[in-house]
Amino acid sequence: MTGSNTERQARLSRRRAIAALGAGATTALAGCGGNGNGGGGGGGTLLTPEGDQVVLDVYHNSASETQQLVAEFIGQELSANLGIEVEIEPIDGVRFNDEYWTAEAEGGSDTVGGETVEWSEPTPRNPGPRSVTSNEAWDMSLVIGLNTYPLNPQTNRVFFDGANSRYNPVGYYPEFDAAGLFEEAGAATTESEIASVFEEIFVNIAAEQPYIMLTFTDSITGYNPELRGPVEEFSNGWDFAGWFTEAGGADESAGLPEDIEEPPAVEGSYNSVSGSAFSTLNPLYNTESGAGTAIDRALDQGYTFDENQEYFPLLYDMSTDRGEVWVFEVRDGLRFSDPYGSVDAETFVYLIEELHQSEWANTANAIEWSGVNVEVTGDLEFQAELPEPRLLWPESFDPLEYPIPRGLLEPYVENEDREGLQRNEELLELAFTGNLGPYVLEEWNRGSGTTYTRNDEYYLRNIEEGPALFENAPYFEESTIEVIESQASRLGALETGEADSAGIPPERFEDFDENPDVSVYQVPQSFNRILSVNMRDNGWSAGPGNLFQFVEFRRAMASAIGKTELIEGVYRGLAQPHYTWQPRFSDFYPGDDVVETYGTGDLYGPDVAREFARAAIERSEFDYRYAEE
Amino acid sequence: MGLPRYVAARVVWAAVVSLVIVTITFGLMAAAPNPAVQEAATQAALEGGDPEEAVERERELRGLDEPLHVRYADFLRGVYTLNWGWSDLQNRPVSEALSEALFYTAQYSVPWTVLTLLIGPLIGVYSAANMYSWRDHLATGVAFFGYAIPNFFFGIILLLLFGVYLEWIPVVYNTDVAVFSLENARQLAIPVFVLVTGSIGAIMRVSRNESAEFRNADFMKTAKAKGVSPLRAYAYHVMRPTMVPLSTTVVGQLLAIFLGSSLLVEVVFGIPGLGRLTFDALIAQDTNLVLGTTLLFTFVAVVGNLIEDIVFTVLDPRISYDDR
Repeated sequence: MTGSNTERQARLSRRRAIAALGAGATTALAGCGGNGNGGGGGGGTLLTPEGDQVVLDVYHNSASETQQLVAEFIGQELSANLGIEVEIEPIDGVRFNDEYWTAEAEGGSDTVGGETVEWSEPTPRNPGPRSVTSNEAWDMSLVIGLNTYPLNPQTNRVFFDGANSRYNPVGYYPEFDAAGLFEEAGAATTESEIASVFEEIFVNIAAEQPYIMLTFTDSITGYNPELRGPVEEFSNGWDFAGWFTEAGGADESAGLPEDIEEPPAVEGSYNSVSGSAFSTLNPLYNTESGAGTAIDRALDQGYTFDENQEYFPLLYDMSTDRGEVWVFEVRDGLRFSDPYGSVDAETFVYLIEELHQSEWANTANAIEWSGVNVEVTGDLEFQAELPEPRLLWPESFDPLEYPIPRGLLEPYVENEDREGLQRNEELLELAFTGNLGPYVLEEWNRGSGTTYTRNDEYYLRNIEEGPALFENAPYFEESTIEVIESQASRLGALETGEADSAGIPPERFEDFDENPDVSVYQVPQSFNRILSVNMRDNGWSAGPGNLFQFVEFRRAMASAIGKTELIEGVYRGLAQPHYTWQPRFSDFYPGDDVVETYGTGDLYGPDVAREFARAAIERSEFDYRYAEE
Repeated sequence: MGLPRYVAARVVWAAVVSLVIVTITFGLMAAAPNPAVQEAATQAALEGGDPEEAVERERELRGLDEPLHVRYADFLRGVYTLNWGWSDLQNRPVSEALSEALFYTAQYSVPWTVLTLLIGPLIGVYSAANMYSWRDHLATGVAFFGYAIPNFFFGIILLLLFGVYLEWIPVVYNTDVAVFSLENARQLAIPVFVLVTGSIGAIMRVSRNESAEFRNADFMKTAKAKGVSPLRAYAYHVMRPTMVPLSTTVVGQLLAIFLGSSLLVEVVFGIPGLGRLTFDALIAQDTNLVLGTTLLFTFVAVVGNLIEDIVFTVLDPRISYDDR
């Protein structure tokens, strides 16, 4: 997007916020002076038309102590800044999902923004218009957090492209043309067009607060201090094959050196830990991220994204003109273990057509290839024609594939034998991986994890792209993933050096940060912490009407909860503020100067929150009011 | 009835009990909906196919369209030939999953059981011999401490102390070491210690109270009068009658704590044994694996009771085999 466009968005956005508040709000905003004047109260309590105090419940996952603290913090903030009393309800996450978050898909229609909207394909997570509700009533929830898809924000369409989007449990009716904008983004044929449309979408989402956006929590990982490679960036781990140990310690956040005089020695073992065992290592049927890591140690996928979040070809390169037809160039020199021969275009086309697009195989990637027409166009080239243009197709990870030998698949394809394919020993034990991964799987002990040895023939050594360190990768003789269910034991293994990496809970951050035997990395990630407010008919238990349905009231909520205070007080500084449906590191984040930064600076505090609330009350047909009025 | 006939009768009875349990299990499974069939119906619906047709096909594929007696016969054959189906959780045959888990569990449960059965009664008799002295109080205190402190908590504390701070034992359990090796002994020492301290309390108290009854019995007075040393008197004349009531409860008690205790200890020490396997199977609703673990524990219980009955009669020669 151009600078002038950005400025226009900023002006529009700011004007919209001020206009919504009215003249009184302008005074209030001016009075705030950007000091983040939260707390302290600013008037009486919010009363129902019957004159009772407004009391709302907030659910949090009973298994999460952090969520409980966040719920308590929100209770204090809403009480002090908005005059609402909050009752905190712990609940089992699965129960919340089944009884509160999802409902029987009934469908129906409603008038949204003056137009009739039909719920023709309702889902349990958007069962119909606001009148269609879950079994159990609820007001607010912290239980569910969602992904924001920073590489391919078009995926967020499932949440926001209209009141009848596939995922809308809260009954959000956009007041901007969300469906039209996502449509526009989908049809865009240049990256600048896409960026411009998404900027508009995310500015509007920040303004409308479909969910009250709170934070992005950083992922805290401890590493062996002698390890070179990890970085405190979203892309951490993309160049894992080049990681090595360096005696005497490494500069944290330095990552891999760009130039090397000679490759480091190949020695030792890289040992990581996992909190749960793997059900399958069959690449065709795995859907778990932990097992995905275990598979990736022995078998590369088609591509990845580098430290600049740019496409990096591993097994194949992808290119397109306008996003409708994509050409895949398979790298030369890739081969499976004997007797399966080399990897070529036919390998992938056979896999896609005969398995992913079949009716019997039901592979993990089946949905991604639905409606895509693939054909071989050369020994090492094939193309995929999409039903509609998708310039950010690789970023959606939909065309990401493992190579599987055709010779291994053929007997199962002939007999349409799904069960046999799922149980095939060679697939489960990754016995076909040839030169396709940094390590060779030696043993998969179902209860205790996986052990690997270095793959001396790894193809990545011969490629021209990427860090110089790839030329003799990998740099460990062995590698293991140990399954240790107890967190205390995982952390113990990290401390003693038995594990080279392990996740660290926020409450232990300081201990490990001060420990010279562990390097702690604070890696940003894209899953958010949101306060969901229920805009459906069972979503405002305080009285008649549902104030959550008004944009102004959701802004009031967002303005009443101090993000900086939340991050410092609950997350010990290990989180980032969340203003719109993208993290700040995303290329599609419009910028703090453009989005409304509710909950921070002059958009935080009792005055601004109550002014927004009053604007909402004016729109309501019911006589809600503040006690002093 | 002589001992051989009695033993034979008990073995037959154990077989009947196991058959009854297997039959009940089959009845429950036949009455419950099969998740694979439901999944097939859902899949067909999602792909725009006919769910009823998919259900029929799946039922046929799994032999669920056969008459009940045929399925029962197949089930019995499967159970007694150890063909217990496929575990979706571990993606391998259930029997393979169970045998591997049993291999790791046995490595700590055998020394745990042996040490518990040796140390528990010994401390009990020692306490009884020194009743109300400081030795008795100390032994009782130690036994109660082990009984009272939760195994998983005690395990974590000892792991932190000996694994993380002193680094005497490894924190990560290594499945590659030889069973009879120093390395294996080192990594299993703390789990076994935790389990033994957790289980000797009850046995120690029962044996203490039992042996207190025999301390002043006539045969003890006779033994003392004949000049038998206290060690021999307690070992031969007190221990044996003390073990009779204990033998009726020990196996049951150990089986009862086996699953619960071993699960938590396995989680803390990362041992891929039966406790974790059973728990994970339940959480993942892996029907075949749940059934397999249930049957395994059932068989262990049946065999345990059989051994208990036999030991009982061997230990107490006053018991007649008639009318049994």
